[in-house]
Amino acid sequence: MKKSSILLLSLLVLGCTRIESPNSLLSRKKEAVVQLAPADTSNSIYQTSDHFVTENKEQMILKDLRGKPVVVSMIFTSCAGACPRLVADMKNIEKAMRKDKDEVTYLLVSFDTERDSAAVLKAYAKGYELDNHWILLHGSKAAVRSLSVLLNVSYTKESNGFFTHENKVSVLDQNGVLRFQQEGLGQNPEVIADVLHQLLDS
Amino acid sequence: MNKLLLNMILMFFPVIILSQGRAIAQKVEMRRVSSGVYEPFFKNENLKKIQVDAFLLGETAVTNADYLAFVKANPEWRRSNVSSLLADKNYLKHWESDLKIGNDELYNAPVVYVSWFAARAYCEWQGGRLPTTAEWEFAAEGAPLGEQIENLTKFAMKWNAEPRPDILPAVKSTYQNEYGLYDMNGLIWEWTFDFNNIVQSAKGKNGVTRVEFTCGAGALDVSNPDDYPAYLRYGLRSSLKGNYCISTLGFRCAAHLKK
Repeated sequence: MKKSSILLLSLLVLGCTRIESPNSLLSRKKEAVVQLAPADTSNSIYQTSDHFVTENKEQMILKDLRGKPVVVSMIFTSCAGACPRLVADMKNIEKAMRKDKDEVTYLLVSFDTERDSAAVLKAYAKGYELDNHWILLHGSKAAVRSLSVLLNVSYTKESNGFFTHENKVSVLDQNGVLRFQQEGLGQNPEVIADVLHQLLDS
Repeated sequence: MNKLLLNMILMFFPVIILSQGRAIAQKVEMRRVSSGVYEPFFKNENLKKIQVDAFLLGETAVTNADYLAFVKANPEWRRSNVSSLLADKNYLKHWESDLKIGNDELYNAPVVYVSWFAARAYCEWQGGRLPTTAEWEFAAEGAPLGEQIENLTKFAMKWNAEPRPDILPAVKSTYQNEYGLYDMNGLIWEWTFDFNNIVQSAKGKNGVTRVEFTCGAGALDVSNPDDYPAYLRYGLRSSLKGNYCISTLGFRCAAHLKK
């Protein structure tokens, strides 16, 4: 039969399986060490050319983040439910980095291409007391959708202007290769802090 | 040319978009899809109806010949150059080489084995974009012209059940619909801009609950439970990643209407 039908069926079945989040298997203790797969720099997301604008109205492309590990989540500022918790999770990661916390860039990218202007993002950063190691970006629909595809963050804009989205915290290495992802809110910050330390030590 | 004739041409000929400032102007025939309301196949309380504004959509899917012009003009999208981040190892695997399609029968067949990133780049190169899922699905609901196809769902079902030939038929080989679009069912699957939309069941607790395709959940809040082809399309989209290149998945481009 039908190679394509088999392919489709296997795709559908794949759609049903969930990737076990590694950290769910680990205790909250520091011995929780993630074995990072070797990086393949040909998979750097910094080869994309989409333009974004920061909360300070500066133009940037993702490649401008090169040099430091990046912790990134996608959010929108009028989100009252998951997003503040996602930002809180990232702040906990920042805290868990202790003395190395400034060696990392903390990145938030907005789904809301219409409402989350630089000024809105600036106010959001202020409200959440995010320092200058944090970057908040907005961009065109295509730029944001493309990033969501690269980071495997599914999302949908609903009729009320809000977004349904997956909650993921991703770690990019110094070259922009996606090295680790945590799915779900309230995860152990030590896990990503450990990943970041591995990247900083490498 | 008299004014009446000019008006006739403007009215009855498909809108032609010429790409600007490029060495080879590619001509894409676009058809206007009038505005309407699309009822998503999977609904939830916040997303029952989507207003689709009038837009332009390619009359056919992009063919291998069209795509060849793109890779000629954009070396980074040639098979041997493309980044694995943006297209997996199956990218254009049905072509003989980087700039050679090989089999003549493929020229007017829709290009497949192309990733979402490639499709997006092609459409932007043409001055357009990929259609959203809502736009694509709304346009695909357009009634077939003529008498050949009585029931579109049955027609699409039949296509889903048939084996795909190794060499796909040419574009315009199935049917044309009320918007002037060809092959919206019955030839290939097509990428959409927001293929990675979340599919959420209405009763999902605290945020995100994915509908488990083929696992029996969530099928209660669909707009039309008989529309199995739509179910398959949603299932396919939700299992794709942006760099996947598949034997039956191609695309067509959309554009905003000039105001």
